[in-house]
Amino acid sequence: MRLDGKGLIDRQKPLSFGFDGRPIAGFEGDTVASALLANGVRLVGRSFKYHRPRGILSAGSEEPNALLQVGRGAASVPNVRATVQEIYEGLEVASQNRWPSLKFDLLGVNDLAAPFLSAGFYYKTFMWPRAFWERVYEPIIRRAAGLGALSGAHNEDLYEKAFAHCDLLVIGAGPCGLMAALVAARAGADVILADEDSMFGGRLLAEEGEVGGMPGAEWAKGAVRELAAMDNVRLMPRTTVTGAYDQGTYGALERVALHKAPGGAAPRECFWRIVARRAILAAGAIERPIAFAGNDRPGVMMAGAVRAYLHRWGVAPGRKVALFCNNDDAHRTAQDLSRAGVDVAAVIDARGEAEAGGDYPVYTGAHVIGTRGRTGLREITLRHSGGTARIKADCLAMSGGWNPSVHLTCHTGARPVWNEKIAAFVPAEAAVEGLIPAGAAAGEFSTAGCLADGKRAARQALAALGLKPGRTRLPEAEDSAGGVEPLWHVPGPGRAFLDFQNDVSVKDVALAARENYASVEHMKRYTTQGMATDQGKTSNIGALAILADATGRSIPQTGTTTFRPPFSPVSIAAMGAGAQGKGFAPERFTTSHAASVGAGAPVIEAGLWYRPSYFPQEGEVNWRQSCDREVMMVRQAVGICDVSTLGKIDIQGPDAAAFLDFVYTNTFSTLKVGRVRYGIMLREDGHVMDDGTTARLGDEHYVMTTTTAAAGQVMRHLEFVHQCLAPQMNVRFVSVTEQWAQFAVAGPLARKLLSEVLDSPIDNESWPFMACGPVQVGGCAGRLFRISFSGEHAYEIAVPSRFGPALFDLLVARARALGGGPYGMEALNVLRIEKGFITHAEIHGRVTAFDIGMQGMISPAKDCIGKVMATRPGLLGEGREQLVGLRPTGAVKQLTAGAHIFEPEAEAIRANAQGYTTSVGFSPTFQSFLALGFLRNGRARHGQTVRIVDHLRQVETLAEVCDPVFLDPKGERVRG
Amino acid sequence: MADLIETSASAGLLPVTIGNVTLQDVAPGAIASVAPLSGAEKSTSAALKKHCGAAFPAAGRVAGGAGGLRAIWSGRGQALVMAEAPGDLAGELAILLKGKAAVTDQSDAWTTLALQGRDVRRVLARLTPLDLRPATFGRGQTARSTLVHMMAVITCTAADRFEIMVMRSMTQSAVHDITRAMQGLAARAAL
Repeated sequence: MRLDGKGLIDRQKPLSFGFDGRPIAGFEGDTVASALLANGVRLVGRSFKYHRPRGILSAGSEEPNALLQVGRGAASVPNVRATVQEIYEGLEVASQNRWPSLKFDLLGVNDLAAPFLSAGFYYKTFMWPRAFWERVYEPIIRRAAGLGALSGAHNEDLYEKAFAHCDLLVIGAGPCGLMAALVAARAGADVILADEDSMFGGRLLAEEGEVGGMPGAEWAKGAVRELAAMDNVRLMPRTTVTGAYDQGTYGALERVALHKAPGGAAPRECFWRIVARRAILAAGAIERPIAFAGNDRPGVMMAGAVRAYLHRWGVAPGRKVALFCNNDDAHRTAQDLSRAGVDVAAVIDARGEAEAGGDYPVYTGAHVIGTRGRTGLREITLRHSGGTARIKADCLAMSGGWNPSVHLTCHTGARPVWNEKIAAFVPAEAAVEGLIPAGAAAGEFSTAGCLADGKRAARQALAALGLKPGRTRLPEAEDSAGGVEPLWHVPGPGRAFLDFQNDVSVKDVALAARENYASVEHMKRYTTQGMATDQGKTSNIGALAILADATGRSIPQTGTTTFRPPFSPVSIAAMGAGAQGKGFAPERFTTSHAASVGAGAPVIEAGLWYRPSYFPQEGEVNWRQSCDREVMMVRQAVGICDVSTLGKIDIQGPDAAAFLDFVYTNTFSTLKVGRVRYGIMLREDGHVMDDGTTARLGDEHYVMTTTTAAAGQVMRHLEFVHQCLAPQMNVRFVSVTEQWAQFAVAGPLARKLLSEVLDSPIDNESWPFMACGPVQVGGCAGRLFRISFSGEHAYEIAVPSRFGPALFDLLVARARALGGGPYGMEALNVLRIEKGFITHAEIHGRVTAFDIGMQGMISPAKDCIGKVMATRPGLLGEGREQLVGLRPTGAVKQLTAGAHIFEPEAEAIRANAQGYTTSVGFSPTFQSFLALGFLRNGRARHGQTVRIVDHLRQVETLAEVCDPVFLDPKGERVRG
Repeated sequence: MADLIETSASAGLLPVTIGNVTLQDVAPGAIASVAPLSGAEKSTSAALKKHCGAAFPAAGRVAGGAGGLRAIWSGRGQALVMAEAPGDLAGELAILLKGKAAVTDQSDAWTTLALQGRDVRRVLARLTPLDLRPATFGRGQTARSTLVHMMAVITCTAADRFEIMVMRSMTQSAVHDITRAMQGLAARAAL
């Protein structure tokens, strides 16, 4: 029911939204919860386990009951708290966990079976047969129990991640937070003030009291106005600080556009990482329910929430309201309602004495022992000194006292401390480094006390920041709070709920204790109390008190469960913001990428790089045709391939040669200037890490190439070796991978082509195999290396990247004129398999130099990384799987990579495996599939026949073991 | 034979203006990495100062600039010396610093993007974890950090202007990510 003249909503801006398809009217400034209550809607959801009717309990982010599905289609969001979602024109919300409708939910039968569905029910019942758990029981249970559902479709909405830095982060903008922010900002600190509400003011917006001689909400408005005008202040409304982490880092979720219709360009949410030198936790407190029979009925609400709906939104949550409490504070609910003209049915105070504050009956020493009403409260039953009574009421406000919001103070491992005076946990001393709890979050409940504590906390933070606070006078405010006498549970028949979201009752906790789940952590897991999306914000302390009682311990002796981030749910979309589509990972493009794509080449990913797979020509209908043609083109004419993705590292210094001798197994100090040498490097454990060629450009200047895959790893390895193992070596290195665009020119016509494009032609005398040096190409200074990864007479030519596209076009055009053209990764792979060259398919991390037949490359004349470890027992000898070539000899001609090798007569099972294939390709040169692989004692088995079985692809082939170098074992072609 | 022509990695992508922030390409001049050899840190710096007007920069700092060369700190014992005009800067520095420092041409290894406008820091807050508040990261300061998933060198060149250097091959991703941050920020203003 909406009340005239009350609330901070904008009555000039009426809005309409849909709840389960039914139009609901509200105003700008309403939440879904306030608008529903204004329209008399009390039933908003069904509970998790028993499908019991549930209504709105609170007015804040702690809401356990009123969870809704917001929006339609792919971006529909489940489990949104009605108390947090602001309304906008056209908003669609739907209730969850009910079928066929909210009012008539078939699974409501679960509630009748409640006596059997007690804590631990699943563990006890679905034990047998074991195989049934995953296939039968779990799917049924999952369907019956639940919250909202994801759409299952891809969410295209924009989400954001961002960073912020400040001197002081103030968490919460109630009286304490506002005061703290004012004091700190006036002293010149960089302040971020974050509050999860859309409006700053906290409880000042929800209460009637005055601050500084004006209504609290007015004072808050003035404070916000002053803060907003300051350059050193950043106000972050709709921002929940969700986690406290090391070194002053806080996670925060900002609801950027969730209060607007979707479809705009603005991000829906932004996940912030805020780094603050100091922080003040002014997160307030959360009112706690009282456990009594039927306390989950729609219409039973927190007393503080009733006041919030009254003052903030001008809504009376009922026409006839009763109050059940154990503290002075809650009496204001009855007084405020009464003044607003709402009928107060009764005030039931569990304490022996209480004063009536208005024209309504007050029962002292009384308890509510039951409620009635199928889908909403109709009547309450109370027990008082004179007997029992029934009172008609459609809303029952309850208050069991307040719990400081200590959650963030526990995120780095601290446990809160019990404060007997307020019967609640308060933050431990120095719980989180740099975080100062203040106000209600620190157990200070009066408004005056909160203002003063905010000032105190700000001054403490300023002192740590080295800033001088100015003089700030505290405004006058009400200075009474408390008078609480703990009341956790009203004994009696009927179910008294503790955790509304996970349907955990007093009986469940008591049962857990009886079954010896007496540790609070065990009780939590056994009953699932506190394990729902609200993390038990309204139930943890209550459950703890019941457990303490049941086990005969005090509350501090019983301890608490652990509060972990996030404080309230964070959507995965916000956490992963930006990482979909092109934002998933950087795309690295070579300088020839556009030309390759333009030529119709499909691209494949190689790490972050994109490389052409093959260059289809007219008439070619599959990749094999293109690949075969490109292989033959290189073997017979000339081919061009972009090899810029290989890692290139520039190495200089007086100790460059010695350094290379140390990281490579073979010797580079003996390499002549103007020559290139192939090398392998080992990890410290003696296995092969990477291979590649290194060119000597000067006495103290080398350029190393790495494989594409291991470029980063090799660079890191060199840094490690230099910084940690050989810091005395005077050597410097830097990556030049990006500086040079490098192209392989391979084939018998390679030299002819190069002589056409280079400013001066080359011959075998000046550029023998493994020569390197500077060249001029098209007026540009480049480098030429006579190296070959194809087994052909080949070169690699490098120019600064800005000239890469032009050089690629030029090389391809000249190659085409000579009967050649570009070739892609598929042909490159076949060419190197024919020649028996290895890649990381072979040096996959578990092979040694011995395994690949390069034991001889570990120089006996010097030490190198991995040398000693490579001689460990088991890393050498006949027992090792050694690199071999394989060619099909039987009826089946196909070979596949990853297949296992067996003796021809042996059963193809794991125990009989003799090795495996690593690289396979169809060789147009040999008109046969060829494979490289590892075979036990393989080098001694050339000529033998083995059976290759691919269990996955169902291919079985007989093959002959041979030398891995199929083509030109003498290397005549590369020297031609 | 005709001379090879140059191609920019950001060809056709820039400039982009969204809201009050503009992202544009900075013409690649010449860049040389300079890494002083052991014991030659001071003599390298002195030689650079004398001949280029830019001493070897302290960590996180930019040296020189006014008319002459700029030296941007780029990591442990390493700086990027930059000239606005293209040319054989690395060759010249190699001669100047012979025996003192390792000099390597990096002119084509980087794409330099300039981000400028009133909300430039708010855009960057969506891209990098650096604390870019004017008091902690003003003109003449630089950092090697991350830009979303990329490694980057981020330098403040004026109150409202930053230069972002990324690996040349990642230019398109950098433009994509920066543009998206600009769009998201500008759209907030319209809420």
